[in-house]
Amino acid sequence: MQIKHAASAGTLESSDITITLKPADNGVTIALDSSVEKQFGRQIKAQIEAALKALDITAVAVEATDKGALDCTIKARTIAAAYRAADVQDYDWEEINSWIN
Amino acid sequence: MAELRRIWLTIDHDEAAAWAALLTKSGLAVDHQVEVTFGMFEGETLLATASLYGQIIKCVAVDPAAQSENLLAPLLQAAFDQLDDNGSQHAFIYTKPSTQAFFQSLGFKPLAHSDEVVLLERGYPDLDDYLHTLQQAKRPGSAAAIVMNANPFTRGHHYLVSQAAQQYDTVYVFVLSAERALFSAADRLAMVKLGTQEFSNVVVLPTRDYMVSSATFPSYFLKDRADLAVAKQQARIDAELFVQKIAPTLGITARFVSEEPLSPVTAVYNTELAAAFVGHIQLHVLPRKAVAGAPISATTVRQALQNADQSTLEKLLLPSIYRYIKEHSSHAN
Repeated sequence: MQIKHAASAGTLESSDITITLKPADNGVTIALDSSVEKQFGRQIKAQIEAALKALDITAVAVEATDKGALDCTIKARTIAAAYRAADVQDYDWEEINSWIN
Repeated sequence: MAELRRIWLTIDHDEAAAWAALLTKSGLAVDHQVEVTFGMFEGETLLATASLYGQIIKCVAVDPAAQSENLLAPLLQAAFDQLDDNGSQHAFIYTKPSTQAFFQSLGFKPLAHSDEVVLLERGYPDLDDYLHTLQQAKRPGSAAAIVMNANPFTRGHHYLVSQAAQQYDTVYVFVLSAERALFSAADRLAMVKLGTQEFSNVVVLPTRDYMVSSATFPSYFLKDRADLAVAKQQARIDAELFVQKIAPTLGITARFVSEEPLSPVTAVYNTELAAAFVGHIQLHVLPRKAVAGAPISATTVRQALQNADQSTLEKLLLPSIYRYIKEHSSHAN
């Protein structure tokens, strides 16, 4: 999947996470701000990286503002932001289901 | 459980009074320059509020008795959703340095600060994107900058550019991007390019949201109605943003402005530029170029356009610009 323009998904509510994806020349960078960064920062980044990898996104700048989201929420917000940033509207649920759990 | 509601300040006088009381209690000015206002209510009691004015989130207050209840997040989310409905994913906020951390935890990034105020932004396209486009226009050697509205581009603007172009290897001319002028941003950019094309060392760029914009210096667009104390703080932030972020990106060491005898807001702006630039950037204040004893101003040009006063227009405008205006005028005669 190709990131064509900046896009984001998620809210600032407690237990949610806002994921913003922006085009980048190469590589994946993640700037994370989290209320539980000390305890779960690495785990949150790993979840975002895994979802991006499964969507075959290799060049992107990620900004994440976390309010204590669970792993399933982190994955869902990353996928939604990626589809928006790539201008893809038909979600390939079967493909997503094959790796999301 | 507090509930989010929109406050209609001009219609609901009870809620408007509660809103004003909350702002006063929080040490904020009751600023009616707002377009959309949200409140967090416990029953009929207003606990917290935030407003939008264009892309600026302002008048943010939380009742001291209701703090630590996370009332800020839903208010700001409502403001972002409202912006999103208008097709914008970009918000700005002014706050005191002491409350900066709250907004950073909600995804805001600081742009510039003075002793009293911090300006932060959230969303995209952001300052990094803008600096990236500036970087691509960068030329080697000494550099000066001029920021202008060019509404329209006059012989006075041309004089200012010519003076700077004689003294520096490169002159970056920034044209205001805000669509709040008689001429569109695209027309003003085109006129400045046309009027400066004889100078090979002039680079014309847009200011986007980062110089004299609705975000960094909204008072500029209020002119006569502007509160000068507020204008002073905004002007300082605008100047600091230039010093801290824009000038280093392009290697700019000087800025040229015209003396401002007519507009108090612009005069305040020039004063704050001078204060922020000390030790960083040289400010050249040039006297206004005059024609037949009267200083050239774009305001005079716009009046002459309205009155179809051809002889004044020929005196104040370069022939190429006058032609451009005649060709692009929707009310051509």
